[in-house]
Amino acid sequence: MKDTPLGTPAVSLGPPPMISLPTEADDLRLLDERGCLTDEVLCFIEQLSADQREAVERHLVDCPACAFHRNQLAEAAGAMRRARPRIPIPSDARLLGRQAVLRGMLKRPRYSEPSDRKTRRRRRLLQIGLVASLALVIVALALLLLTVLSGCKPKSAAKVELKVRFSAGAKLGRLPGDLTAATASAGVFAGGTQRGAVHLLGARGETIVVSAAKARPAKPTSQPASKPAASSKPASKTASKVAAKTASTKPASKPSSRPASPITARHRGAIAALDLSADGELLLSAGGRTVAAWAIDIKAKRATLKNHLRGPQILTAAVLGASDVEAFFGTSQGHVLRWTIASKEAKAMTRFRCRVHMVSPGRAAKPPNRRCPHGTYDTNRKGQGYCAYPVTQLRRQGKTVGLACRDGYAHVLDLKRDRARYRLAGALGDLAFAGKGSLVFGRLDGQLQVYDPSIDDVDASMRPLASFRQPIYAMAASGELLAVAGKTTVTFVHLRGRRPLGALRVTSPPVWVGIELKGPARAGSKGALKVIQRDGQIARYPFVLERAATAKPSQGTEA
Amino acid sequence: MAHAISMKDMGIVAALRGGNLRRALELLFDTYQEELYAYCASLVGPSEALTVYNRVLGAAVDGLTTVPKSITLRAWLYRLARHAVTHQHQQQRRSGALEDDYAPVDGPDALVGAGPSQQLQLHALPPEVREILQLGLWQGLRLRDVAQILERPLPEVRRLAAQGLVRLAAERHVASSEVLPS
Repeated sequence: MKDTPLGTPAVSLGPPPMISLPTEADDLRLLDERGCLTDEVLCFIEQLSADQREAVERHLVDCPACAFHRNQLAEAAGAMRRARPRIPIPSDARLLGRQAVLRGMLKRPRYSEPSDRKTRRRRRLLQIGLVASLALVIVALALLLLTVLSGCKPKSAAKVELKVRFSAGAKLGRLPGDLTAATASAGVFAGGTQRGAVHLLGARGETIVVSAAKARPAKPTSQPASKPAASSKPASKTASKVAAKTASTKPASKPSSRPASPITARHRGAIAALDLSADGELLLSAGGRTVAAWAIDIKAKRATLKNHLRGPQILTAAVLGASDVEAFFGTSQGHVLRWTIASKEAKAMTRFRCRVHMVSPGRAAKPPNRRCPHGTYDTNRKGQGYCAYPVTQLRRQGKTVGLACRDGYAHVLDLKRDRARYRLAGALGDLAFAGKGSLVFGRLDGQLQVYDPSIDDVDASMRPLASFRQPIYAMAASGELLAVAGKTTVTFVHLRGRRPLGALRVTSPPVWVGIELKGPARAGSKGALKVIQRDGQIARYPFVLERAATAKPSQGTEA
Repeated sequence: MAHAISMKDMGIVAALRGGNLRRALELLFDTYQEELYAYCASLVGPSEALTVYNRVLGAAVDGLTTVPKSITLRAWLYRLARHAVTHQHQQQRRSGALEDDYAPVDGPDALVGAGPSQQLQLHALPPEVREILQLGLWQGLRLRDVAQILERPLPEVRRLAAQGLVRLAAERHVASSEVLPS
């Protein structure tokens, strides 16, 4: 008989019947050692499996003690259930539920099926990211602490306080006036005129005209018989097949006189760009639709046409390559072409060019001259209009070529990797490479900006250097010293200086400036500034860099 | 392990698998909001029930997509509510730890609606037993779900439940024998 805390039943129930269930199933002990159902079974019979419940029910029919005990427990459970508190849900709680749904939608707009593996991977990635970020922060703090403790400041933070003192200038010579482009190298000065002539001036006063302004070639002795000597048509590509032609030599006192020798490459239109090799023996000229390379022997007063090209577009900029066997030139449509001088064609660089700007239909409906200010309107294959802006500058330093466009952007090409490195905003006026690869932008609105390539962040690495009241026409750099030519002055600026070092007044707008300086720009350094003015005058101004005693800017500074 | 899905949860799980989180949340709250609020109110009283209930809803929204497969949604919600109540009690006591045998059943109005005799009988039970009986008999949860809510082994929960119910039955028997004439 079952002995329970509920007491003994009033009638004798006899021995418990045998049931055919195992004593343990699903971690649940069904029968005790006396063969009666355990309390754990009797309390929650409804939660047993169907088979277990059926067997238990059979046992309860046969075992009055277990049935009695089960009734007692069921009554207690029923009383407990009936005592359940009835708590109605208020309307605020229902509102909270709706708000929670909306919060969930705002917080997690997209849902993917829950996946433990995915969640674990995400958590792991998050942990790795957090640890990496923490490590970076610690390293940065340690470096900062080391910098502070060692007392060193970054070089860029060290400001330079110098001033420049100019001596009386010396006139080196004079080229024909109305120059549009000029350059100098190894004692040779070259100037291109508005009418398409290119003149050279040597250190000893030798002058050569390498490209005539007018098509008046004299009858050459070495000209092929098939080519009309007096033809007014521009030289064709086949002209480059002809053996090198000897250009004229003429006295220095009469630079504008008629050339005595045939000119086989003419520039119809203003000379846009000139570039001399480092030894002064190779000249690149670009103007009109023609680009030409000339071998120069200034001592013998001889210029020989090596090769030239003519194309459909107006050329606006040119620069010699690093090895003097190739050249780059830019067109009014924004294209840049790479030309191996010995070859008869140039290849357009597809990824190194001025970008085109798509034109809205509203602007395309305007008159043609108002569609693209400073640019050229054209349509692509789909009939969409776009503006192409001309190349304004091409500069090279070592294996790096800089390109400035009329739309205000500059591009940099790495010749080693043969791919464009970055694109920057700036340089409508002139572009120059300064020390350590810095790129200086001289803008027509007088703003001077410098880009430091050692800083990856383009926005942070572009900083204003100085501001002038006149447009910047030409620039030259020697290390960190920079000469900026405006309309009436040439101003010296140091890349790490707080203000311009000094300025030199000139009589005519400079077309080209150059700095002769050995070593870095520091107090006591001596050098010279060379200037080719638009009126053709060439002058050399010695200068000395001195330590600035006061913060007063030098006289004539336009900043 | 397969999903433990009850009949009520079929629609919710289908909405979840279909990527409709909004529908799943609406179904979840429509199905369980009344008993969930009642459970919270029975533990902490009507005055703080809304606070706890809001916390439970936030936890449910955050974790609905990562519910463990071994637990039913209903049991999971009760587990969230129990944690929220524990957290609420911890905040009220302003101490970092509760007693080892703490069970969130000591709310101020936890036995609202229960008769005096039931109150006395329930209060005579240990808190952990009382909590199991409340979940099993008041909320109608299966013992397997109660074990998952309390995060305790099922045999132990079953043993405690039987122990409590036997004790309640014994006290009922004693009370009836005192009232009835011999």
